Amino acid sequence: MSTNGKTNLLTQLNSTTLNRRSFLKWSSAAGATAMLASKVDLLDGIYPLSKAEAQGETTVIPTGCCHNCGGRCVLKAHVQDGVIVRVTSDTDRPDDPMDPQLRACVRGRSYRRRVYAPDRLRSPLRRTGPRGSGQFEEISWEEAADIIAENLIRIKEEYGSAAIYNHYATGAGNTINGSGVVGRMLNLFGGRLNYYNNYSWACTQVATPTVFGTQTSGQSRVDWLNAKLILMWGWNPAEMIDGTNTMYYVKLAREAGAKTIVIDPRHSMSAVGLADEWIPIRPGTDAAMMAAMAYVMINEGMVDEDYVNRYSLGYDSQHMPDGYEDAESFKAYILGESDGVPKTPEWAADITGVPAETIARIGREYGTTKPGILYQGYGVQRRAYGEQVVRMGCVLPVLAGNVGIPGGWAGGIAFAVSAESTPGVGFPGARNEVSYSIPSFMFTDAILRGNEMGAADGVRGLADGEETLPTSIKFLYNPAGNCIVNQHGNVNRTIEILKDESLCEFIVTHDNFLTPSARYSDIVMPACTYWETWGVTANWKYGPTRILMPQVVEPLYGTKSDYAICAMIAERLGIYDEFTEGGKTEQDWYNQWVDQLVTEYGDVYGDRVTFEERGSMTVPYTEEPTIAFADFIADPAANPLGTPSGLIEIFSPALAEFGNPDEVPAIPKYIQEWDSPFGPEAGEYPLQAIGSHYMHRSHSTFDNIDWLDEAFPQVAFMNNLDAQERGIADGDSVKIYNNRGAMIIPVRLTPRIMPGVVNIPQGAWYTPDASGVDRRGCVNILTTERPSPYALGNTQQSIMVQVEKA
Amino acid sequence: MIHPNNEWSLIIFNVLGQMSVGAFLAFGVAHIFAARRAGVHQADLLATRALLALGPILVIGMAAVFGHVGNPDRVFNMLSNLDTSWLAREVAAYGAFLVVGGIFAILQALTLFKKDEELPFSNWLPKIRIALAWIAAILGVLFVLSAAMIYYDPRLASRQTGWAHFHTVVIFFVDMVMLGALALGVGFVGNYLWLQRSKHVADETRRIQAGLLRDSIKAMAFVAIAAIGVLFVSTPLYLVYLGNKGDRLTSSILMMLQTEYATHFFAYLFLSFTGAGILSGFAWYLTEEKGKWQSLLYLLVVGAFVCAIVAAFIGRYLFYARNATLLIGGP
Amino acid sequence: MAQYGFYVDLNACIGCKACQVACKDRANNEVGTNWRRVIEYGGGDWVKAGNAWQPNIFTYFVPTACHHCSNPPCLPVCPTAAIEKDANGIVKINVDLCIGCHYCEWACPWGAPQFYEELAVVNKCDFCKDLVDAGGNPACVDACPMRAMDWGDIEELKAKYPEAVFPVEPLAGPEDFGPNALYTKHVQAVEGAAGAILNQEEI
Ligand SMILES: Nc1nc2c(c(=O)[nH]1)N[C@H]1C(S)=C(S)[C@@H](COP(=O)(O)OP(=O)(O)OC[C@H]3O[C@@H](n4cnc5c(=O)[nH]c(N)nc54)[C@H](O)[C@@H]3O)O[C@H]1N2
Ligand SMILES: Nc1nc2c(c(=O)[nH]1)N[C@H]1C(S)=C(S)[C@@H](COP(=O)(O)OP(=O)(O)OC[C@H]3O[C@@H](n4cnc5c(=O)[nH]c(N)nc54)[C@H](O)[C@@H]3O)O[C@H]1N2
Ligand code: SF4
Ligand code: SF4
Ligand code: SF4
Ligand code: SF4
Ligand code: SF4
Ligand SMILES: [Mo]
Repeated sequence: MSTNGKTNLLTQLNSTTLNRRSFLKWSSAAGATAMLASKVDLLDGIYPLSKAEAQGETTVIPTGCCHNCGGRCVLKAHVQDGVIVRVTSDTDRPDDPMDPQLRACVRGRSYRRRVYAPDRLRSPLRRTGPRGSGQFEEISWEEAADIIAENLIRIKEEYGSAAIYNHYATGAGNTINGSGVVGRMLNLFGGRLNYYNNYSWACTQVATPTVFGTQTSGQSRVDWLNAKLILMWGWNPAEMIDGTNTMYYVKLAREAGAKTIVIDPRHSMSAVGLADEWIPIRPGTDAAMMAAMAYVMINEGMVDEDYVNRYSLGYDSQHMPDGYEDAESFKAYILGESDGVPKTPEWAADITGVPAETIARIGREYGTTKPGILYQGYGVQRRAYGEQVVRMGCVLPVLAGNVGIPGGWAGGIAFAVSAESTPGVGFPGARNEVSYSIPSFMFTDAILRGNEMGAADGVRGLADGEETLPTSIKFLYNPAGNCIVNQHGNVNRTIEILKDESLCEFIVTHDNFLTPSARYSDIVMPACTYWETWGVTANWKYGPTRILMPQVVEPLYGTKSDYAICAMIAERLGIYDEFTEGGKTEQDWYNQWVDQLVTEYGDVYGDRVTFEERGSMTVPYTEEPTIAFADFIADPAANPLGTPSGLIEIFSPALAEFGNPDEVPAIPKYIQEWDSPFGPEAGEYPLQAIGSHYMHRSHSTFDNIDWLDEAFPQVAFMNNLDAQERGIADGDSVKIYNNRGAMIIPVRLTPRIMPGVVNIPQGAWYTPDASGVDRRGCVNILTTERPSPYALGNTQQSIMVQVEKA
Repeated sequence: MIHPNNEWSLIIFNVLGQMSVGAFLAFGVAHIFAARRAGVHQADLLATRALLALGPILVIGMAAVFGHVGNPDRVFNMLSNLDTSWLAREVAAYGAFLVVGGIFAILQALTLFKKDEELPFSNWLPKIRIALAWIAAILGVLFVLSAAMIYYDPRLASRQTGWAHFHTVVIFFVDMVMLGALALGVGFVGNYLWLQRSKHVADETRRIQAGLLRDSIKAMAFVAIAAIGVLFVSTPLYLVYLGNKGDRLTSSILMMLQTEYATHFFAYLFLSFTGAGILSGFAWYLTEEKGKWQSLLYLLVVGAFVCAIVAAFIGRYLFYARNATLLIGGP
Repeated sequence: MAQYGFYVDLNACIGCKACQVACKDRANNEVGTNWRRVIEYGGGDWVKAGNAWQPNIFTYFVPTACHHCSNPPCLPVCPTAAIEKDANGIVKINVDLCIGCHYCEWACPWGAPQFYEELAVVNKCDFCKDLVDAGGNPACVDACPMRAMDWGDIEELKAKYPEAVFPVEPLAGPEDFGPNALYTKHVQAVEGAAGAILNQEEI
C-alpha cells in the first residue's frame, strides 16, 4: 500500500500532524469519550456487535453528502455518545427506478474518516512567514475576525468594493457551509467583484446556447430507457457520477435494449461497467471524429436535409442566415468544398487515432439507429478549443434527427427541463452592488492587471464609456475552495502572483484542512465540516432532490460553520443583524427552510416528520419523461428557440461577429490545439496528459483521507508501450514535466489507456519539495492559465508532457 | 500474507524442534549400541550430558511457539481441535514430547550421580526409562509428522501447492535425522572433551570413550550423508514438479534463481551439499585414521553441524518464501 | 440447513468500491484490512494500424470476500476451533478464541481471513451476521450504487441467476471447498486469455 505520498503531504502541510491512531486525541479534548473512542477505533471491527451493544444506544441521523463531486447522496450517521461509529446510506426505503435510493459512493462512505481526520484544522491561523511558506501561528477567533474585518474595511476604502473578490469555491454544497454565505456577507458589506462561468463546463455553458438558445437541452433520465444507442462521448458517469444514480440509469437503459459505446482515451470505469464497446480517441480531437461521422452521414444519404433545413440555419449554402449567404456552410466544410479537405474517416483517423473503419461504422450506427443519444462529458470541453466539440456535438443530433424526440438527445450541457426542478431554499437575496464580473478562470489576471482588463478580457458589467475595471483584485476570499492554487491552471504561475503581497494584499481561506490554497492565505479560518452544523442541499445535476443535513456531532475542537465565521466578521463590519436576520442560528435557518419546503411542496416532501426521517426527497419521475425541444420540433414557428433566429444555429452569426474565425469559427470545426501532439511542442513533450476526475476525491477534497488513498491511490496511469520505450516499470517513480512544472509520483502501467496518453487524476494536493517539484501529483503543476478563445473557460485538460524514470 | 520474514518464530520452532527429536532418537540408538559394546555405564557416560544439552534447545523452541502466537495467554486454546487440525496435533505432540522426554532426561541424568541400585524402585528404573524413551520417541516422530502435515495437508493444497509434495515431508524428516545426528555428534564431542579434562575419569574410561566416540561419529556422519543423499534425489524431483505446475509455482523457481532469494538458494545448496555433505564425508574418512587427526575430526563434526543448521534455517526461510499463492492476495 | 452466498453481476460492476468501504466502515477496519476487496482484472494488447490504434484489451472488476464455503478448508485446520459454520452456512471466526496462528489464512485460497497486528488475531467477512440475522442485508450489498450485488440462499441465487458461475478469473481454484459465490461473467471476459490483476497494490 503506498501511503508515502500522504505521509509526505501531512508532514509538509501540517506541522501539528498527529499519528494515525490519534483521532483519540481530539476526544481527550472532549473528555469522557476518550475511552469510548479508543474502543470504537480499535475493537469495534473485531467485536462488531457485542461491544457496540455494551457501548450503549446508537442514534441514526440521516444526513447527506454534498461536495462538488457530481452527486448528492443520503448518508446516515450512526452516533454513539457523540461519536460517529458507522455510516450507512439511503437503504431503508424501497428502491424504485422512478424514485431511486440515493446511494452514496466510496467517498461519502468514508465520511467519518474525514470528520475525524488527524490533520483537521483546530484554530484560526495567522501567517507569520512569507506567503506559501506554511508558517502560521494560532490566534484567537476574535483576533482573526478583527484582522479580516479591518482588511475588508481598509481595502474597500482604499480601492472600492470591486477590489474584493470571492473566488469560485465549491467545497460545500450545503446552505450553511460553503462559499454562498461569504458572498452574502460581502454583498451586504457593499458588494464584490463577481464572476461568471465555472471551472466545470464553461465552454458547454457558453456554446450550447449558441446552437439552441438555452442551456436546458436535456431530458429526464428515465427517457434514456427509450434510446437504442448511447454514445458516451468522454462521458464517464461511473466515476464522475453526473447526478446520483446516473450510472444506474445507464444500466437500466442497457437492460431496456440500448447499445452503449464509450469514446474516451481511457478505458474508464464506465467503459468497463456501462458499455458494450470502447473506442479510444486521442484527447482534443473529438471534433474531427464527429466531423468525419457527419461526412459519412451526409455522404451515405442518412441526413434528411429537408428536415435539417426546416429546423436549422447554416447546414448548407442554401440555408444560411441573412447577411451570411456567402459564408462557409457546415456541409461545405465537411465535404471540403471550401478548404479542399473533405472530412473523411481517413482524414480523421490520422488525427484521432481511431481507425477509419471504426469512425465510419460509428457514423453509420449513429446515423441510422434511432432514437439515439450522443452524450458529452465535460472533460472534452475543458480544453483549448472546447467550444468546438460542444457545438459539433449539438449539430450531429440535428443531422441524425434526434432532437426533440423520446430516446433522443439534443446535446450540449443538457440541464433537465424546468418541470423537474423545484426552487431551492437559501438565504434571502442580498444584492451585489458591484456590477462587474469576470470569467472565473481569469481571476489571476484580475489580480495582476485587473485595472487594465476590459470587455475583450471578458469583463462584464462595465458602465457605458468605462473601458476597464476600476481596480485589480486586492482582497481574495476563498471559502470552501482550493481553486486559488490547487485547482487553477498553472500552479507555479499562480503562486508567483500570490506571493507578491503588493498585488493581492489580503487572502482569507475557510477550510477544514490546511490545503495548498490555505497555505497561500494570510488568515485561515478552521471551518467545521457540514456534519457538524445544520443545512440543506440539493441535487448536483439531475434530481430534483432536497437532502436535509441536521447536525450530526458538535463541531470538533470548537471549529465553526462558515455561517458562524461570517457572522463574527459581519458583527465587526456592522452588518450582523442584516446578515443573521437578527441573530438566527444555523438551526433556526434550517428549521425555517424545512418548514418552507414542507409548506410549499408538501405533496412531494410529505409532513416534516416523514421528511426528516427519510432525510431526502426527490420529485419522482413520471411515466411521461420530459423531452427537450419537443414543442419546437412539433411546430418551430409557434415555438421558436431562444437563438436570435429562433432556429437551431449550426452557423452562429454571433460567433461570426466575434471576429476571430481561426479560433472561433461560426460553424463548428476541428481546430488543432495549442498543446497538441501535432505541434512543435510535441518534440520536447511528446505525451498528452489528462487529469480525470478521480474516485479518490471530489476535486481536492478527500485527498488526505486514508481509506480513499488505499482504495484509489494517486498514481499516473500510463500505457505499457509508452513505458517500455522509456524503460519504466510498473510502480516506478516517474518524473512528469513540461515547461510549466514537474512532479514525481508512482506510475501504474495499464492497458487501459491509449498509447501516447498519460492520466494524472486531478485534485491531488500540490506538495512541493525543496526544488519545487510536486511530490503528490497535482496535475495543475503542468496545466495552463490560458483561457479558451470564446467562452474564456478553463483549458486544463490540454497538456503535453514528457515522462521519465525519476 | 506469508512472507518468510514474518515466519521466523515458526522457522526457529521447526528447526530446533525437529533437531531435538532427531537428537533424541540418535541418543537412543547410540546408547543401545554403546551399551552393547561397552556396557550401560559407559553408554551413559558417552551420551547423557549431550542429552541434557537438548533441554535448553527445546525450551527455546517452545518459546518460539509463544512468539508465533500473538496472544500467549490463549496458547492452550491451541489444543482445542485435535480432531482435525494438524497444528493442534503438532503442538500437543510437541508438548507431550517435552514432558515425557523431560522426565526421561531427569531419570537419565541421575545416572551421572548415582547408581540405579542406590535409588528407590531400582528394579523398575531401567524399564521405566526405556518405556519413557520409547514413548518420547514416538511423540517426537508424531510431532515431526504433524509439523510436515500442516504444510502437506491437502486442505491447504489450493493455496500452497508448492508445499503439497512429498518433498515437504522429506525435508522435515531429513532435517530431523541429519540435524539430530550431527547435533548429538557435537554433544558427544563436547562431552568427550569434558571427560578428557576431568580429573575423576580413569584412563581406561577415556580410552573406551574415545573408541565409542569415534564409532558414534562414524555412524552419525553416515546418517548425515545418507540424509543428504535423500535430499539429493528428492530436491530435483521437487523442482521438476514445481516447474511443471503452472505459472505461479514455476515462477517460484525463477524467483529462487533470479531474485534476492537467489543468494539464499545457492547458500542453501552449498551449505547442505558441499558443506554438511563433504565435511561429514571427510569426518567419516578420518574416523579410520587414529591419533593425530583427532582434533581435526572434532572440528569437522562441529563444522558439518554448523553448515547443516545454517542450511536448515535458510532452507526453511526459502520454504516460506517460495510458497506460491495460486489465487489472489499475493504470496 | 440454509447456505447463504453472494452474487455479483460483473457486467454491472463499475469497480467503485462502495461495497469495500461500506464493509470496512461497518467492521471499522484500518487501512490494509479489507474483508471485501475489488480486483481489477484485465489484459490484452494494442495494435497499431497506420496512425490509428486498435485496442484488443479487456477489463472487469471482481468484488470478492469470504465465500462461506460449504466445505471450508479454513475451518478444520484451525487449532483452536475458533471457526464455526452456523445454521445459515455463515463461516465465522470467534476472535475470542483465535490465537492468530495464520493457518486459516494459509488454508483459504482466496485470501479472505486477514491478520490484525495490534490484536494478533485473524478475522474476516462474517456475512454481516448481525445485520442479516436481524432481517437486513449485508452492508456491501446495500451499498452497491449499480445494484450489481445480491445475496441469499445459494440454491435460490442459482435459480434466480441461472447464467451465474464460479469461478471467474482470477478467483479460479479448487471447487471441492464449495465456495458460495456466484458471478455473471463479464462480456469482455476472454476465455483463457492472458489476464493479470491490474491493481495488486490495492488488494
Ligand atoms: N469522482 C469524482 N466525480 C466528480 C468530480 C470529482 O472531482 N470526482 N467532479 C465533479 C465536477 S465539479 C465536474 S465539473 C464533473 C466533471 O466531469 P467530466 O469533465 O466529464 O470529467 P473528466 O474526468 O474531466 O472527463 C470525463 C472523461 O473524459 C475523458 N476525456 C478527457 N479528455 C478527453 C477528450 O479530449 N476526448 C474524449 N473523448 N474524452 C476525454 C476522460 O478520460 C474522462 O474519462 O465531474 C464531477 N464528478
Ligand atoms: N487540471 C484540472 N483542474 C481542475 C479540473 C480539471 O478537470 N482539471 N476541474 C475543475 C473543476 S470542474 C472544478 S468544479 C474545480 C473545483 O475546485 P474547488 O472548488 O476548489 O474544489 P475542491 O478542490 O474540492 O476544494 C474545496 C475545498 O473546500 C473544503 N471544504 C469542504 N467542505 C467544506 C466546508 O464545509 N466548509 C469549508 N469552509 N470548506 C470546506 C475542502 O476541504 C476543499 O479544500 O476544479 C477545477 N480544476
Ligand atoms: S461524494 Fe458525491 S457521489 Fe459520493 S456520496 Fe458524496 S455526494 Fe454522493
Ligand atoms: S472463502 Fe476462505 S475463509 Fe471463507 S470459508 Fe472459504 S476457505 Fe474459509
Ligand atoms: S488464526 Fe485464529 S481463526 Fe485462524 S486458524 Fe489460527 S486460531 Fe484459528
Ligand atoms: S457481508 Fe458484510 S462482512 Fe461480508 S463483505 Fe459484505 S459487508 Fe463485509
Ligand atoms: S459497489 Fe457494486 S459496482 Fe461498486 S465495486 Fe462493489 S459490486 Fe461493483
Ligand atoms: Mo466542476
